[in-house]
Amino acid sequence: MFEARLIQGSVLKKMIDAIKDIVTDINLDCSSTGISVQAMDSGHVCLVLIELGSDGFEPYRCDRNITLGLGLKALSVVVRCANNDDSITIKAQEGTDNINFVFESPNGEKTSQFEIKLMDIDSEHLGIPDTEYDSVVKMPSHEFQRICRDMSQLGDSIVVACTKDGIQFSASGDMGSGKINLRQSSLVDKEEDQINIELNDPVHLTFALRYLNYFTKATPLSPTVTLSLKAESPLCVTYPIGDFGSMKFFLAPKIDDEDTAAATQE
Amino acid sequence: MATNEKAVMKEEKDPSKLTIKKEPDQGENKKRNRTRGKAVKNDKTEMKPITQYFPLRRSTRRVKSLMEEEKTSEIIRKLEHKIEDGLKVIETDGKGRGVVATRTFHKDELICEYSGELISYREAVQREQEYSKDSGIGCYMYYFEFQSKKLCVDATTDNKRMGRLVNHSKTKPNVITKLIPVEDHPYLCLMAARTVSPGEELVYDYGERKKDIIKHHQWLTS
Repeated sequence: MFEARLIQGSVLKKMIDAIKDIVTDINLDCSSTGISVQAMDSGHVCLVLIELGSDGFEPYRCDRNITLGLGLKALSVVVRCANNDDSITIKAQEGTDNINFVFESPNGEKTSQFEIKLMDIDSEHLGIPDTEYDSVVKMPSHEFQRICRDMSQLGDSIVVACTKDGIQFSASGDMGSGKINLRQSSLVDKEEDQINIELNDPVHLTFALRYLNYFTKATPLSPTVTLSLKAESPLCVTYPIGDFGSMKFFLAPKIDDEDTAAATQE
Repeated sequence: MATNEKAVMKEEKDPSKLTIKKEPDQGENKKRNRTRGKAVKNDKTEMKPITQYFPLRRSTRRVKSLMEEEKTSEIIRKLEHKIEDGLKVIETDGKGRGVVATRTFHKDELICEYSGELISYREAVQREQEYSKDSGIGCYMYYFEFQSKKLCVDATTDNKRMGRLVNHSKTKPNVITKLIPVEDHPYLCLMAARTVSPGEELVYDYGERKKDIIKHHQWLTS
């Protein structure tokens, strides 16, 4: 028996909106500690990792580890039927091949029940190593979304360069080129508006904007986003989900000409 | 957190055909498999799939028979290719040459083959008489029974293989012998009796119990 109730049902809606353009099916791996999802896009270029701790649910019950395979299309249709302030309960009985969603309005006057058939999804689990990143940048998520959107007007890829002076995003194309510099902020009113750069080593990496623009669909999930960069390694874009979980996107860097290769060696 | 989009509630059923799937926990595999990005000269920049950076993690829970099968095929592979890694020949005090492990061998892992000429019992007895005339020749005869036939592996000739150089210990062996048939050919295998750490000398019980022989070779009791 698996049962998990998410008070803020809107979180689930936002999560699904964030990934539905990247992946088509997901496996919810449920254990006593929480729910995790690992999925790749069809081209196996990027990886989505969702981790939700059991403490984010009230109640949370998972008698034994269970994997629930779901088609995102169906899930998206169902979850769209929930109001933003509804609570969402996910239930799965052992031995059945259905998953149940129950939406309850805050005043308890309205409850809706939906059932989706489970899928048998061939899952390939990747082992994500614990990485010590060269640069970790925390910034407002809407700022990152804006930068990716603006830069994609100029070119297909974005160069992210992190030095002690700050982080620079640049793109160029037939039309011209552009650069955006962000410096570590010293005084801000709100913590979430802060730009914080932890730098062990300067990095210089190029990424496909197409995928970053998919990732930034997760912006409504969190006011802040963290970019973790390491030379020759995939970028990790992390959106925290409340204080009980996170949504992470991993994207391999583009391998550039020697200039970039040399720069990353520095 | 709430956005202002409104959704209408309605019962709806998804028609797609789906089935349940249960999966056991995933084992931990933190092995790093980072591929070094070689610059590719191209007009368009290249991007590797994420699977190149993060290794595929398979469930560590496997069917026991499958694991056994894998182990056996690994042993056969090592036997057929005469692979003897993680071993080093040393000069011991008083026992002549010996073999030490240079890496960890896990229990029941194949260490090496006791390799030599496979001959019949009768042939072996004759040869042994021959050999006994020359005191310079040590004893490298290993007698065993296979498919109810008495056979012997004669490793008297130095064939540069490790098996024949592994010393004896009756009291503290860390290696045992095991007969592994591969397509009706018996291989005399030296297997780790327990976990063997690097630097340990490999020793096994030669199995000689005849009083008169032990009297002449006191080292057999050690």
